[in-house]
Amino acid sequence: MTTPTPAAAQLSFDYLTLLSVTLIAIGLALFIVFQAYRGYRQHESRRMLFLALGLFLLTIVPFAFSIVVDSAGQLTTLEPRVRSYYLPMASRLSEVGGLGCLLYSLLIDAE
Amino acid sequence: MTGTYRTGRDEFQTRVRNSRRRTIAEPRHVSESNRDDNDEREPDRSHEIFAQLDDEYARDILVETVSGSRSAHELSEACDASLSTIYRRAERLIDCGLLAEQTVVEDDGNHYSVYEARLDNLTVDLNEDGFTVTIESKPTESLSDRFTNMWEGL
Repeated sequence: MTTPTPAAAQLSFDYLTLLSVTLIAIGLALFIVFQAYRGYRQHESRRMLFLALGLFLLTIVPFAFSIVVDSAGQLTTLEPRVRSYYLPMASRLSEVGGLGCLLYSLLIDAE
Repeated sequence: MTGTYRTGRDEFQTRVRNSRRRTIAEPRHVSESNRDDNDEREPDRSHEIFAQLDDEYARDILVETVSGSRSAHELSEACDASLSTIYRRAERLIDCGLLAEQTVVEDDGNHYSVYEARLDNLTVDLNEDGFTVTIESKPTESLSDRFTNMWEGL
């Protein structure tokens, strides 16, 4: 009984496509965050610092959470509550923090 | 980007656009729409441009910076001029909108300026009103500069 069942093969395919799309999303997000960070370094703009931080918390951190949980799910069986509650909650908290940073960046005076 | 400089025979009138200096000290949140309001009409700008192009060091600086940005030190060696000469010429070229200045921040926090030619094409038209000098400048801003300008303009 070494041949994988269709269900298991489907699961692995799902995992790999999700992983690659998430990695592409992380790459794009890193590029934009890096541009914002360079704007902060070159112009000493606090607004750009918080823009970079906000985009990081909005995009990269939730992506990373989902990769970690998906990868862990491949190795061990996770408690159902991890996917149904902890992962969305952690992602949402990070997004709230990110939006807070964006809002702060818009509200402070440019220096 | 095009800036037009007009010189009348009797009255000298100059319109300066897109000649914003790119330095840290300047407030960077000036948006495109109200930039014209902030730009003072400076008299006699085209004379200044002719004077710059007559200057050997100023021409050398433009030639050296046309293909990429250079620091004052590099320019000083390339043009065989003292640093103060380079700074003085660069300052005037920036005022004329022929040169762009950008600040580089090193990892240890030190700052220094690099210069890049903005001048791409210069046209002098003669008609009854006098001379009209048109500068076509090339964009020297990087992606992160434009991103910063955009975000700070909000």
